[in-house]
Amino acid sequence: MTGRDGGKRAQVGALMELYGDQVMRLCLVSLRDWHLAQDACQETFFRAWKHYDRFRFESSEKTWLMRIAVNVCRDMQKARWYRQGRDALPLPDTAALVQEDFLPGPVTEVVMSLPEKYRLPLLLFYVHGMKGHEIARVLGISYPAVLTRLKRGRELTRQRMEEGGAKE
Amino acid sequence: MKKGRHDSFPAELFRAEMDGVRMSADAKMRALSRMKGERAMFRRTGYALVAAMLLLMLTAGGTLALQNRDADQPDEDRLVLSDTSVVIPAQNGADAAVFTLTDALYDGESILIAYKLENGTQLKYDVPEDMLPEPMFPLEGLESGYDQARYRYMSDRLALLEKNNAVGYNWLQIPPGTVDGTSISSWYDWDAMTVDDMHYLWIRLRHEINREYANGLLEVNPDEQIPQENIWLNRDEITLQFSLCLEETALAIASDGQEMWFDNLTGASFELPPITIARTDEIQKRTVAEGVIQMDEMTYMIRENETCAPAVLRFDKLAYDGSNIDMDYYIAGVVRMPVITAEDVLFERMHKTEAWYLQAVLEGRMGDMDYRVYSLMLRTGKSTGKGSRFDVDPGDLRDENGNQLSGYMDYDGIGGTLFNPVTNMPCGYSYHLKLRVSNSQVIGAVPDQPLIDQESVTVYLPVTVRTVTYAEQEGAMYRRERTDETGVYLPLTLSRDKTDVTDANWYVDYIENADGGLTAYVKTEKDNVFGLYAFVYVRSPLTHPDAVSEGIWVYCTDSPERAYNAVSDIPVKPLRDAEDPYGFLACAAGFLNAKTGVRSVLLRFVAPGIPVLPDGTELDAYLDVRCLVSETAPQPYWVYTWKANADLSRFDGMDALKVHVPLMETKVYATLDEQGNVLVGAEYTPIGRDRPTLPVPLP
Repeated sequence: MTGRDGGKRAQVGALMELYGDQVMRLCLVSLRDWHLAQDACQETFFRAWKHYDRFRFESSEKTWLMRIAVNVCRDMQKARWYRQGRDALPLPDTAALVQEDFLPGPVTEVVMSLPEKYRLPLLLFYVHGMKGHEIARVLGISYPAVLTRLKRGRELTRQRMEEGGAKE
Repeated sequence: MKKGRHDSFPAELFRAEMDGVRMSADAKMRALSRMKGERAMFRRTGYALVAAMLLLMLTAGGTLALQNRDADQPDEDRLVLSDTSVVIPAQNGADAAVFTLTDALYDGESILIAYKLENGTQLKYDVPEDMLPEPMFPLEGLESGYDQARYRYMSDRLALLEKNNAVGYNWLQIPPGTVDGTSISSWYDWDAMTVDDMHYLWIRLRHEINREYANGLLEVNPDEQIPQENIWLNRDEITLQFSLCLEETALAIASDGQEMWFDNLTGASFELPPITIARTDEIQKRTVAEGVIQMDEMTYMIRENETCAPAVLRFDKLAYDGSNIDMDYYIAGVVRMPVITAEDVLFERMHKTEAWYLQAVLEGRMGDMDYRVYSLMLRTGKSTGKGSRFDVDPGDLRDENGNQLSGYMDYDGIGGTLFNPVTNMPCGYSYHLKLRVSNSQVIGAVPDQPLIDQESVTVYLPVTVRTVTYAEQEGAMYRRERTDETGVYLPLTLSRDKTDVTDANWYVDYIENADGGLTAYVKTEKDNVFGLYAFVYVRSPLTHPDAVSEGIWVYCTDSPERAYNAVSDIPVKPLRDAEDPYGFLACAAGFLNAKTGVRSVLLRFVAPGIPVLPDGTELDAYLDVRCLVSETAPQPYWVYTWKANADLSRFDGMDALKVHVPLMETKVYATLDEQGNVLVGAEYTPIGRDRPTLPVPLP
C-alpha cells in the first residue's frame, strides 16, 4: 500500500468519524430501513474514498458527503428489489427503524411518513443545521424548491401531528 | 433563512429523537475494509491496463498519444488526439466522446472558451419498466415552475422519440478549476449551443461568495459576488483544468403524458488536460467600443454592464453593396430575471398558445414564506422569434449621425438551455437583418445620402436590453415588455461588395438575356452542395394574380437532360406577397444533392410576358434573375421582375393604363454539374393566351 493511498484512507476515515452519524441519519430518513441505511452509509464513504481526489473544496466536505449519500440512496431506491419491497408497505416499516439504541419518536414517525422530498429537507435543515442553498446543492434542486419543500414539509408534519400521527 | 418563523415545527424534539441514529462500528469497519480491498484489486487491474495501453499505442502507429496517467486520477485515461482534442472514454453508460477546444481567449478579466463535445450524449430507450422507479410526481404537483420547466423540457425532447422510458447520459461541462486546486466560481458562466454545435463558455474570473438569502427573498446583487482580490485577474497567462461531469438522466413518462419520473444524477467526472491560455493583449487593443471586445473579424464580446448581461455576438455575414446592408448574426447571452412583484407592473394579458414553453422561476415577496412564484417563459416553436425573450438585444443600425436606418429583422430562435433556476438563462438567437440604405428609408439622414454608393460605410449597432416579464395568474398569462438603451454601440465598418448583397453568397458570373431565353451561371463557393431549395418570386407593376394562378410545377430528376421531360408535376400555389400586391412567391422547387443523385430541378410556371399597350406597342421589359444561397442552408431563388422600362410620360395624368399581357410558360431550371457548380437557366414561351385586360396602376 502506498503512503498516499493510506493517507487518503485515513482522511476518509476521519470524515467517517466526523460525519458518519449524520450520513447515517440521512440514509435512514431516505431509505426508512435501518440495515439498508447502514449499507448506504458504508457505500457513501467508500465512494467518497474512491473520488476523494476529485473533491475540490468547492463545497464543504459535509455537503459533498451528503450529496454522495443522496445519490447512493437514490441508486438503492432504483433497484428493483427495493421498490418491490417498498411497494408492499403503505406505511413506513417501524420495525425496520427500531434498533437497540433507537426507537423512533412521534416526530420522527410523522416525518418518516412524509414523501422523501419533504423528509430530507426537514432533516438537513433541522437536524443537520444546513442552510437552504447547501440543501439545494445536496439534493440537486433549486433553492426555491428547497424553500417550498420545507414549507410543505412543515405543514404536513403539523397537520399529521394534529391528526394524531403518521399517515401515508 | 430565519428559523424563528418556523416555530410550528418541533425541531428540538426531532433533533433529540434523531440523536439516537448512529453509524455502527461494524459499518465503519466494513467501509474501511472495502477501501483496502478495492485498492488491491485496482493495482492488479492496473497492470493489465498498462499492458493493454502499451499495445494500443503500438497499434495506433503513433497517431494517438497517450497522456501519462495523472497520479491524481488513477482510474482514468486520456487519449489525446491533438493539443486541443481529447477522447473521453466511455463509462457508466455514456458513449465515448471527443472534446475539442476550438478557441480560448483570455483578456485578463474574462475567458471565452469555444468547444465542441461530440458523441457525448446518449439516450437509451426501451429500458425495461422494472428498471425505472414509479412515476413520482404528476406534472402539476411539481414544486416550482423551474421543476416543471425541466420536466417539460425533457418531455419535449423525449416525446419526439415516442418512447415512454428513457435513460440519458450526457457529458456536461462544468466550471473549470485551476491546476493548483483552487476553483473559479464563475457566476456568469454560460453555455450556449449554436447551430453548428459549438459551445461557448464565458468565465468571469471572480469568486462567488457564499451568499445569504435574507427572509427567503432572493436578492441578486452581482456586486456581492466580487471579492476584494482575485488572483486570476490580469495575469500573463492562466492555466485551467476543466472537468466534464457525467449526468445521468432517467425519465419515465406515463401513458397519459402527464405523469413522469425524472431524476438527474451526476456521476463520474472526467478531468481534461490542463490548458494554458496566454493573455491576448491584442484583444485589449481591439476594443472597439466601451464594453465591447472584438474577438476576431466577425465576433464581438459585449461585456456586462449595469444594465446589460454579457453576450457574444457573432456575425455570419456582413455585406454592403452600395445601397443595401445585409447581415446575419448570432447572439448568445444570458437572460436575467429581475425580482418583481405583481404590484410593480401592469401586465398585459397574453394569449396562451400551444407552443412549447421553457419556464423559470421568479420569486417575490408574499405570504408567510415571503415568496411568490412567477413564471418567466421562453417560448420556442415555429414562431420562435416573436415570443423569445432576450436580455441583450441588438438594436437597429444607426449611421454616424445617430440616424436610425430602417429595415426589417428576421428572428430565428435557436432556443436555450435552462441551467440555473433563478438568474441566468443562456440562450442563443440568430438574426437576419436587412437594411436598405435608400433615400426613402433613412430616417433623418442628411440629404446627400452619405451611406449610398460609398466604398465603405461605418454604421453603429446599438445594444439594447429587452426586459420582458411574465406572470401567470388564474390560468392567464400576462406580460410586460420594455426596451432600454445600454449606451453600448458596436461600430461596424463594411466595405462595399460589388455583389448585390440581397442575393449574396452565390455569385452570378454573367447573365445572357437573349430572345426567349436567359441563362445565368451561378458559381458556388462551397465544395459540397447538400441541398438547393428554389424559390420563385415574381413581381411586376404589371403583374396580376391571375397571371400566375395556374401554379408552378416542380421537377426533380437525376440528370440535367431529363429535367425537361420529367413528368412529376405538382403545382405549387403561389403565395401572394402581403406587403406587395404585385408580388408573388412560390417556393420549394426541389433539392439538388450530389449524394442522392438529384442533379436537376426544373420549375415550370405561367407568368406574364411582355405587356402590350392597346395600340399594339410593346413595352420594354426585362427579366431579372437572381440567385441566393445562404451559408447554412443553400437556398437559391430566382427573382423575375418585369419592369415597365418604357417612357410612360405620355400617360401622365392617367390613373391607370390598360395593357395586354401575354401569358408565357416559363421554365427555370437548375442543374448541378460535376464540378459542383450550379447552372441556372430559364426559357419562356408564349402559350397563345393573353391575360385579361385589366386596369393596372401606373408605376
